[in-house]
Amino acid sequence: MTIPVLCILLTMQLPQDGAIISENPSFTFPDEIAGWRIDDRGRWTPETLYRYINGGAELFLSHGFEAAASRRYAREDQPEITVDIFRMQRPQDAFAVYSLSREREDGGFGQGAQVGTGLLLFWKHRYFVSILASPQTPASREAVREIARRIDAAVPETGPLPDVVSMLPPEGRRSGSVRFFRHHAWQNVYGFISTENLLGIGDDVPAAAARYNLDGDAATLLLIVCPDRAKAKAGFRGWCAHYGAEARGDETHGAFASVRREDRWYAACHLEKFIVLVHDAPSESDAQALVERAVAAIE
Amino acid sequence: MSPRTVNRRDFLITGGTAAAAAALALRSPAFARKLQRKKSRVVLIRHAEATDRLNRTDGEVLAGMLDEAMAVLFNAQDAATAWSGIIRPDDAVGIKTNVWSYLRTPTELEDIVRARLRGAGVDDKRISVDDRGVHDNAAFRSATALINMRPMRTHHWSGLGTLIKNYIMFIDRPSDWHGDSCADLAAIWKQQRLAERTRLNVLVMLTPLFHGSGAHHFNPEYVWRYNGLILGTDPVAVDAVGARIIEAKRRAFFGEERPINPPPKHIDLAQTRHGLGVADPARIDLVTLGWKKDMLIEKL
Repeated sequence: MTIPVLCILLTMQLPQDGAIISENPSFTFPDEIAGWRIDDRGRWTPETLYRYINGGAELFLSHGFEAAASRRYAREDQPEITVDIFRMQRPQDAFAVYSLSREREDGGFGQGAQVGTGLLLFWKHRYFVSILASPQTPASREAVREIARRIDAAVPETGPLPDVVSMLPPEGRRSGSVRFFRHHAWQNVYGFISTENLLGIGDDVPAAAARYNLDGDAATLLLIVCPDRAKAKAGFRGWCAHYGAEARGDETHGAFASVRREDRWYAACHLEKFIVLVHDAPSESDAQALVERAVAAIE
Repeated sequence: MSPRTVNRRDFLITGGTAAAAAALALRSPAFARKLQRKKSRVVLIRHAEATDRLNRTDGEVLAGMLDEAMAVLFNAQDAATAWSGIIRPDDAVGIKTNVWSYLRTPTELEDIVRARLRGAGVDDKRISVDDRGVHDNAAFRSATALINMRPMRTHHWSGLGTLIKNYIMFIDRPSDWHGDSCADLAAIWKQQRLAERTRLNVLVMLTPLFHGSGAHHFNPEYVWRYNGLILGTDPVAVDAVGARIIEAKRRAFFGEERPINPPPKHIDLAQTRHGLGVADPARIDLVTLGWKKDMLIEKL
């Protein structure tokens, strides 16, 4: 094999960074940053992601994952830095993964970021970015931020939040508590409901959850948007059956059910194509009031 | 090592049934487990200096912790006696470790256990350490004794990565066991005589992961220096104690109930459905040793 042919083959095997950020093909990971140099690189598809993320690939695969590129940077006497850029189909997919990964909003990067001790996460347009350096050192902290700034700058566009997230009432909502998902596995994010998909959550049935402050206490609000009234009705009835609650009211103009479990209150409302759930409220009136606020926000 | 919560005299008085069983365990661990059906002894030991600020393990401190816990677990005069009680010189020993890159079983612990096995008369060539290769590792297939040790962490599929779950790598297709939040992991222990062959379980609680997030289910903000080891012959009881600590940490950190998701139901089912051990707190004899600060569990 001649040297030129070998060079061509090696070049073909190198990951094409620009292809990860489709809107900015000129983007490349830096070879060196603040003394850290690339030690390993990877490129992942829906078929191979599970090899890279042990046990956690489902989160991405169930939310429109397209491709990912990773780099591991090394520097003597410093922690490794692992950089991952995940490209999703739509901005709402990137927000879904981000919302299920962060616990608070720190800002500073992309359209939302959690800047923690050793882990920086942010989302922007249809990209979710994770930069891990553990344990954190002063030098790694600066390097992580510099990498984040470069990736942030390389993504020119922003994307809208999912509609269902915009429908959540803002009053009393805890910052950083909003979750968005299109797979029922995450319905249990703030307390176990079921391993079954009793609410019908899926690709065409998005859901959002958030924690709300209630006079020194708190409750969880879940909002599910179905494609039609029949699916919402089925989900509402599934919830009633699961919790042993009796529906009241008119399903055309709004049906309501509530039940007490271990001194906490759980309530559900079905209105047109929406299902509103309040879980883990301190009283029935608190649960009902939060349901009413959510319904008002929808209307 | 800081003062014990329970001195030896208290221990002998309060641990009557378990102590008797443990004494027999020096001759036959499997028989001891059967005798311990009413109470499974679990030893939690902590030391403030087991890890440093960068979460690095201090091997010397760790060795002291393990030795002290072993002596108490098996009601032996010292650690060497305890090891000689559960391991014969002609045993072939497999140490089932865990090498998850973000939180692996400390290599220091692997080295210490290997040294203690040698101290019990086992030739170094008859000691194997492995994790993901155990299914195809002839040394593990023919091992007459197994030592099971791993760190506890939250887990996408099973709620918690536990001692029970650590044996999933003995299976040809681990993903086959992911259904229903890995509910039936304990059934794995009935295959290849794993339960019978296991002489000791060590749940590493030096820097446990109490909440998973981020691309790799690992966020350094959600590990903390608990600096503990939990030992027992009953993996279910040890996991149950570890799960209580994780739950307590989540409660303290988040300031409200934040149940582990998915719920680690495989621990309770290991008792109620599979009879591998006991998860019921009333049937666990917990002995706590060493550092007391922020222990998160006083008794069960």
